[in-house]
Amino acid sequence: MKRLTVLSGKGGTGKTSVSAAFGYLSRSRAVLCDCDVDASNLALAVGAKNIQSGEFSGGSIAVINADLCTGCGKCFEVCRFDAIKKLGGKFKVESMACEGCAYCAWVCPADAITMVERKSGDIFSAQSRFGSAVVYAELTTGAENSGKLSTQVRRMADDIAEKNGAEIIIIDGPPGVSCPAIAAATGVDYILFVAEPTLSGISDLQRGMEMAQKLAIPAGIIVNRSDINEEMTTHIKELAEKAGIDFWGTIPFSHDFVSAIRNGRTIMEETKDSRITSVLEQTWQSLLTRIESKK
Amino acid sequence: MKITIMSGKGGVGKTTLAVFLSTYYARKANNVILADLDVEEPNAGIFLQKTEIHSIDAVVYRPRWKEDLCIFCGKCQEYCKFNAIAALPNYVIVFQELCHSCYACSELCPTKALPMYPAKIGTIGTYHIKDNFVFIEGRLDIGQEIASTLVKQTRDFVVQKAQEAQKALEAHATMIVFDAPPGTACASREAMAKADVVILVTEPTPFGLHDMAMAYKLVKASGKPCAIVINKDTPGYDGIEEFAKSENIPILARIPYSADFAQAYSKGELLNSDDIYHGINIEKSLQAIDAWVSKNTSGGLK
Amino acid sequence: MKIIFSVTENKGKQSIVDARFGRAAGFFLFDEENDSGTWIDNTSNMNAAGGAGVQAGQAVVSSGADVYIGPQLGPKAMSVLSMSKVQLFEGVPGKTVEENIELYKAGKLLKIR
Repeated sequence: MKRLTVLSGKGGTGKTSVSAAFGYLSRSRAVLCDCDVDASNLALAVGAKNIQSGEFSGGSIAVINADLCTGCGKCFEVCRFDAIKKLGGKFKVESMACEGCAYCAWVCPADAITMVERKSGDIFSAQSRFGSAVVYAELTTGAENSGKLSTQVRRMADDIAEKNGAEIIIIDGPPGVSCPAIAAATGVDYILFVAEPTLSGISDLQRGMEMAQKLAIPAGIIVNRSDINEEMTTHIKELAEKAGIDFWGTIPFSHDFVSAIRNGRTIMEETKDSRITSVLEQTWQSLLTRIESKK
Repeated sequence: MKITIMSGKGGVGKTTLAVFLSTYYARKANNVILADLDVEEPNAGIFLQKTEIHSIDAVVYRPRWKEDLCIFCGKCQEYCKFNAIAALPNYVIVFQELCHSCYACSELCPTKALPMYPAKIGTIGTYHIKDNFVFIEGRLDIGQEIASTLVKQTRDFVVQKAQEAQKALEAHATMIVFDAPPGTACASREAMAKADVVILVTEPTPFGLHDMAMAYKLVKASGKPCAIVINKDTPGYDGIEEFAKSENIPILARIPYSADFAQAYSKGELLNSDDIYHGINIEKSLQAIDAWVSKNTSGGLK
Repeated sequence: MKIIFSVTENKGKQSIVDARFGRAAGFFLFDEENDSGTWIDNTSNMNAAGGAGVQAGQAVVSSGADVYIGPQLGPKAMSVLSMSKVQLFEGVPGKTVEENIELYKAGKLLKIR
């Protein structure tokens, strides 16, 4: 069983559209996994129907028992996150700002502070329109995105893949280069970058590639909306060559990507443009061969 | 006057709008700071003719183990809620990347064997664009795991600079435009926290709607005035309008999709020599945004 | 000699060795001298945000084990265990503790450190 993560660095390059296309091509041989937990769209792209859901806790927060609080303010003195406020002679924790470090709980002379598990999201197990299992999550808005929820999503996908005998787990990653992206890519067999031929896209791609290099995982690039700027597309190809990573080809711009999303279909089902369907089919086949061949 | 531009969904046009809006205000002779808070992938600078004024290291404080002071009581490991400390019988390891800088282990250690030292997580760069227009960018070092800390630091740095400028020059209040990161988690919340008003940029697709709705939850909870700008608009989808109507959020502008614009954007050309791109009727949209901002605050154009 | 295994459940010597370390269900500490075993629960780490490897590593060191047999270790777990005297061997996940002991005695397990 192999794992592929789709990243980009930049937001909006087409990670989810491409992941959904690969999912469609794989049907039940793949488990789809959305690690973009604070903006999860993969379930929408594949018409997922929820089977099961569960709550997720990212950590705990401090809670001050007002009856026991003596108003000494020790908690306020030690809190580094501005999470403790004075309210009418006593102190109260602002849960959104609380990091859950428990320093206040350790120092409270009245034992008035307890650490309570805080719900920070929901995790869903679902089935796509075309037979693949889908796992995704929704992080509570404003919550810390430590990568823990992504890790949980991935673990669930692993368990399902083992049970179903799926060949591949396709992980739709988040934009960025910090913990959420790292959690989506750590320990996988291959990282595919969906790039966009713009200055912003290339700048972000390079930062993404640097992060992937640190993880020492084989990688490749596919350029989406390639005909917006052929020069930049060529430049990206050169970047891939220089970095010694695979270059899988180009996908031309098409409004069909938008209509696919609006119609709740994958691009494979929506478009009549054979340039798009063939590059995605060929890339997927070759990518699978490449991933299987790596020990 | 502080405006945060956020979206939920990546790639819908936050940076584009932030660059346009801040340039528009600067053209009308306000004092403006454009702040790029997308610290993982800061892009606003690509579109600006700028010269660096200075760059500072953004640091967080993390503990370092002092072997000669340690009595191996193991308390530090108990205190750390983030599993960043392994206290072995003869050695203590601090896992820097897991540390949340709460200071608990350091200050509660009975022998002060874990003093806090600064560790660089990124940079905050200040750039000159025009005499009344400054650009400040937060940039996270690759390998750093937590982005929200730098978002917060950059934001506070910007607010402080604006206050200093106002005091020094007895000038009008500075207009600050915060370009927020994508997503709806902690980093986005920090980018919004000091704003007076929030503009949600979205694209007319179910993805755009889904993520904008999540971002709106954050804004609604804050009570800050909020409005929507639809970007890359094409006909055939009214999900955004329906949502806006049900939540009573004004839609200030609909910027149509334009292949020409996309090409110019790809080359980093948002601003022509007149500082405004005329390929799409952005001027009217910016006026509409400004009118709403003025209505919702005591600020706006002077 | 005390040998500790990263396992998926508490079934004594029939416990299956886990493919995970930091987030394994638990550890089975086998004391060769009196052929006895102790179960060390790892549930609190299964749900840790980060540093599961750190804490699991700590648990292994605190257990007093001489030898560790289990999956390959992540960098944090390695940092912790490399500072200890525990000898590290790569076991075979999916096989039982008993089977792994046999392989260890036959010198068939790869030494990690």
